[in-house]
Amino acid sequence: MGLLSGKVAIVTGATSGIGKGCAIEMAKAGAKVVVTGRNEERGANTVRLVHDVGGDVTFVRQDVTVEADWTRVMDITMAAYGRVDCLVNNAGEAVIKLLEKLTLDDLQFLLRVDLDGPFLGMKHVWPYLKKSGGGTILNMSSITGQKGGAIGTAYCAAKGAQLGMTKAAALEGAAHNIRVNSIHPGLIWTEGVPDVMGPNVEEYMPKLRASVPTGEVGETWHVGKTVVYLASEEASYVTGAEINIDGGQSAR
Amino acid sequence: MAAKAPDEKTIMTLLHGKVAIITGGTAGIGRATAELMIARGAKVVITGRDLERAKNIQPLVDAGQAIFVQQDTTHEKTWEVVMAVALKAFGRVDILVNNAGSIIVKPLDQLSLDDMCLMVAANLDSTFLGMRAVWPHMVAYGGGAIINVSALMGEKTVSIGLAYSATKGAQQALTKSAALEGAAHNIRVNSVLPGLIWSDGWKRMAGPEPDKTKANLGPSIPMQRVGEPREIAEAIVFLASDDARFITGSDMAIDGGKSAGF
Repeated sequence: MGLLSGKVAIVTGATSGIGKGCAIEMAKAGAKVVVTGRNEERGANTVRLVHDVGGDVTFVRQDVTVEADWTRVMDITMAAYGRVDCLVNNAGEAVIKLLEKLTLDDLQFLLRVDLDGPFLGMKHVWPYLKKSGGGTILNMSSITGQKGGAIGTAYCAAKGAQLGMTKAAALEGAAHNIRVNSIHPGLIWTEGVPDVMGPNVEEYMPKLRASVPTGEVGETWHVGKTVVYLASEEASYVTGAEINIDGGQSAR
Repeated sequence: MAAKAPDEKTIMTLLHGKVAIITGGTAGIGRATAELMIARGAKVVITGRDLERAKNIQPLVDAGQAIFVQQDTTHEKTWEVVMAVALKAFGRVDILVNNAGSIIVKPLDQLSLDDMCLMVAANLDSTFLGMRAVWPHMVAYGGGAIINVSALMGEKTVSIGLAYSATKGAQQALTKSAALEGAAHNIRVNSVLPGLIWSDGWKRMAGPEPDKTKANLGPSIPMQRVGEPREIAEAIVFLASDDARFITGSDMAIDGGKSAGF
């Protein structure tokens, strides 16, 4: 018996990176997973990886900022598995630029993906969780949602706003046995890192590692294992909490 | 570059082969943690002051999964004994749960310096001494996990909780600094922050009708109920396990949503 046996989870932005790692770990723990993302080819890759660990998985093409896509995700989830127990609002974007280079479009883009996306996800899964007697929502923030990160003005704003939203939703969900928690990864190695850091990322790696007290960059499964714990009954009294997975980076 | 995730362990073997020391382990959160760690495959050294209460954990000792050591965690000498017993019986120490603690709730004008010193000794000295005792061993053996049981009152406080809150807040700062120092040695140090948990301490304070007291406390918490020691034990086991390998210096609230709002 896995920790998530019998449960159904939706993981957004699961075509790569942390979302992909969460989908794999949740499947290993026994959950059936609905993985969403914009890129069908990469979605097929996640489906293959989940199959490789013996998991039951369905891919749905989705832009988390489009409300109609959420209706479709919920319809497909219910048709395929008949229930939903957990939503991992993982899809997100980062724009790392000096303030004087940041445009209003940059900020609004991040607010759409990092705030509207999780908002719509919570809103659409809520009635199902309420009706079935409870469930869990995990919103993927960042340690930069708690502390400032240099040249991350827009990103920190979006992730910090998301944290406030998570706590308010936790208070509202508590009466319905819906637990809502905020996850704060530090530096995690994903395919997206070169996109943000530029093509010469190998040159940055020693500096990146040195910025983490443990001297290493995290792996997506580190986040995935934490998501499994928080989504399980073992975390039955944890709600409205911030869980940091950062090798000690935010402790200093 | 990715190191692969460890093979899926069954829940029963999450702590297989690991040895833990749990202070204040004869009742409440400590006892629940000892029971759960054993269920997850660990061997445990349980310490406590009260020999009468130690009878609570006799079945664990009889089953060969646990050893009891009488200890006042505020006395440095006792830590030498605990380490010696742990190493002799089980050969190693991977996990320390600094759970023993104490609480005094009094108005400021009735709070004495003795009260304050007692709180510092029980909640801060004991945590420091525990970390100090296991540290060289963990450094030599390539790492370990320390979980300090703080309290939500270390972050958010209540009226007349001055001495307790002060020491629990200090304990969290101690945890974070130790985490930064331990990072180079693969020693992870984290805090858990329990909210209102129906521990043996609460039961003793609950008056003649404890069930009624418990029910009355529920509405002050967003989840509308007091937590159970087992729910803290689950978090401690997770943080102690290799599943939490990238988590250090964190403080995790387990409070039914209490700290999320006002």
